[in-house]
Amino acid sequence: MHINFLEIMDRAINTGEKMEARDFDMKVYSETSRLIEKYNIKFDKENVVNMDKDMADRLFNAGREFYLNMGTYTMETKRVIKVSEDELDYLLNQLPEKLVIGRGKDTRVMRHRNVGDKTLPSVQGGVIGGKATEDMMGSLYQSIAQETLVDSFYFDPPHIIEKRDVTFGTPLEIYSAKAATAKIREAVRKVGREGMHILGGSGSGIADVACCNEEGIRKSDGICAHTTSELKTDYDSLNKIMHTIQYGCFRQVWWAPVIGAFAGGAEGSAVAAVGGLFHGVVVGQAHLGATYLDLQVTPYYNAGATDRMSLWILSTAGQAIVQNSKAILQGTITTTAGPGTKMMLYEIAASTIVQAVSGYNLFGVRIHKPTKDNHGTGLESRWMAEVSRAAVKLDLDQSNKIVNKLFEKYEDKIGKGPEGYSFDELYDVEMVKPKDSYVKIYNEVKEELTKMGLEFE
Amino acid sequence: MENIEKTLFDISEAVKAFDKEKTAKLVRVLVEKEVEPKKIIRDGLIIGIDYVIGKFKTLEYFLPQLIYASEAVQSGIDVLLENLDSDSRKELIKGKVVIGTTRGDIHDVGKNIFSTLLTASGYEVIDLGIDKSIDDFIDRAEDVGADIIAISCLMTTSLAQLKELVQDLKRLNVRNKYKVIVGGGAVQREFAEEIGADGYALEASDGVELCRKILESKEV
Repeated sequence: MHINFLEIMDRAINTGEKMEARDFDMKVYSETSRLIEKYNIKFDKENVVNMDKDMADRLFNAGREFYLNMGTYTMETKRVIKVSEDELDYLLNQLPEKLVIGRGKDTRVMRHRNVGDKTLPSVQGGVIGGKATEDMMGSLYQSIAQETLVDSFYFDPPHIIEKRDVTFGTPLEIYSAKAATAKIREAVRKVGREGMHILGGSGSGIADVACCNEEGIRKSDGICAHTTSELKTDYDSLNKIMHTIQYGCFRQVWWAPVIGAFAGGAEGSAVAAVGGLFHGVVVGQAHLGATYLDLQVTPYYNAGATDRMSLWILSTAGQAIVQNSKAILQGTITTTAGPGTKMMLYEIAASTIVQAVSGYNLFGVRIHKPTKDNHGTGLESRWMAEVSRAAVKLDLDQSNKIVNKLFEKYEDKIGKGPEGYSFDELYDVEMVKPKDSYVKIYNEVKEELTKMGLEFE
Repeated sequence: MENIEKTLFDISEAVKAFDKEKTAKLVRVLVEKEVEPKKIIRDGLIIGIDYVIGKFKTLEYFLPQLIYASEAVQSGIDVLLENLDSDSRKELIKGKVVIGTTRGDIHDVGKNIFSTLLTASGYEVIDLGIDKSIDDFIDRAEDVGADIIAISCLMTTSLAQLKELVQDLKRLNVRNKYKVIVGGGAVQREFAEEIGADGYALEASDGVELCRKILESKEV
């Protein structure tokens, strides 16, 4: 049964059943606890790349039942957006299998990928949450745009503009977002990729909306619509979704189960991870054909998302989703270590391998806890792309073996990884070129992974 | 004496079982026997909650269990408080903490974990929730006579409000009444120092220890 976005918004704002947030949170836990028993979902720490196809299918059904029982909670109105099975199935069946992002010669296709898919994942680079500063962001994002293996990239505006603090939802945020977008357009022009798809990530809806025009976020570009864990939306996110539908640009709808919080541990978070798909489809109106769906995993403890539990959730939930739907699924790569360190490259490699063979397109890199301004460079995005191209040649078993070898390199340092360096410490900023010291580390890690069995191009 | 020890043990078990009613009932039994409130907390409630916190840290328990257990502890503390005069109450509660996120920041999981751990550790927590103005924090702190104002921040576009909070406390001549602590994904230690906050915590469990330390220093 068809259900359009006006009806969804009406349920969020006017007609959905009211519920206290705490009751909704606690219901998340009771539902995930019940469903992991019902569907016999088991975490396998030795095989973080899931080898059990049947369990992935069961997880999909668990996630579907979870969403049907939960719905999406609207924080301002305390109303729950619920859908019927017919409505949910209709939307799911209408999902497109590919999106054409970007413009002109810089157009790229982002596809639905399946488990073990040999087609290359779309690589969306970025320095996610890495606090690019006004003076550095042009060069920083140019360093990503110039990486030819990177298909598109994400950016967020600086939090200080012309020496003024930028606060959420204010004119200064609009100004900062517009100034940042202008710099991004300049960066892609400079490297000859004028039509490259860019994804804007302002905090507030009004700042994103203000950037949506031909000189900023074009219809061939996109903006992000967030989800608060678990299964919660708010007016800013809904405004972004409504705006992208009306304006006609793309939207990335992302969700991030928090391991150890209301969904529970590995298995419960995996159920919530799949449940998030249905939230993305329903609230993000993904069937309309301009939505890519991004799954992040966030442990409450300081582990990035490269510990065994996080990677298993990513793999199993991803497989569940792509085996049972046409969703264009994207996964976020999150590390504990910072740029310019071997550990970060190991972590990126592990997460990329897990995701590339589990049906994802790729989005990254995000540091769990950025400790510096300009905490990232283009080289991490290149690394994600290079590893993904090698990873698609692997089967699930080979992937597991390599990821287990990578664990030997970094697992004992999770939570206390090196913070790394800032962009200006790792690049010649004027030439937008990585320093030899960083290239050396990069090549050494590449050599190590070659020995582990990755075949780089 | 043996009965008292047994009841203390039962209190710890009731907390472990997330049983609010039983915890309160057993605490009442010991209050009637005039057992020292600090002993009831130390040898009963804390034994139980420490067990749950330990399980939470090893991911055997999750946030809901932590919340249920802290509510059991709170039910026991409430019984103790209702039997004390105001001076004794102050002595029993480690401190009052007003906590929340600022305008534009709707991330509540980290805040909830911190808030629950604080409650479980014997603090009185006034949780304002998410997306609150600076005035909300200050007004509430004034209303309840808070010791600490704690802000969790995941959005860089909410950081300026942390600075403004400290400035406003100074402008209103109440800066010395409160310790201000900050944490969350968007906050760096250097930023906390730069704005003149009294403390910074990377993780929720660090925050509990931070509260203990800064309240001790306040007393000195």
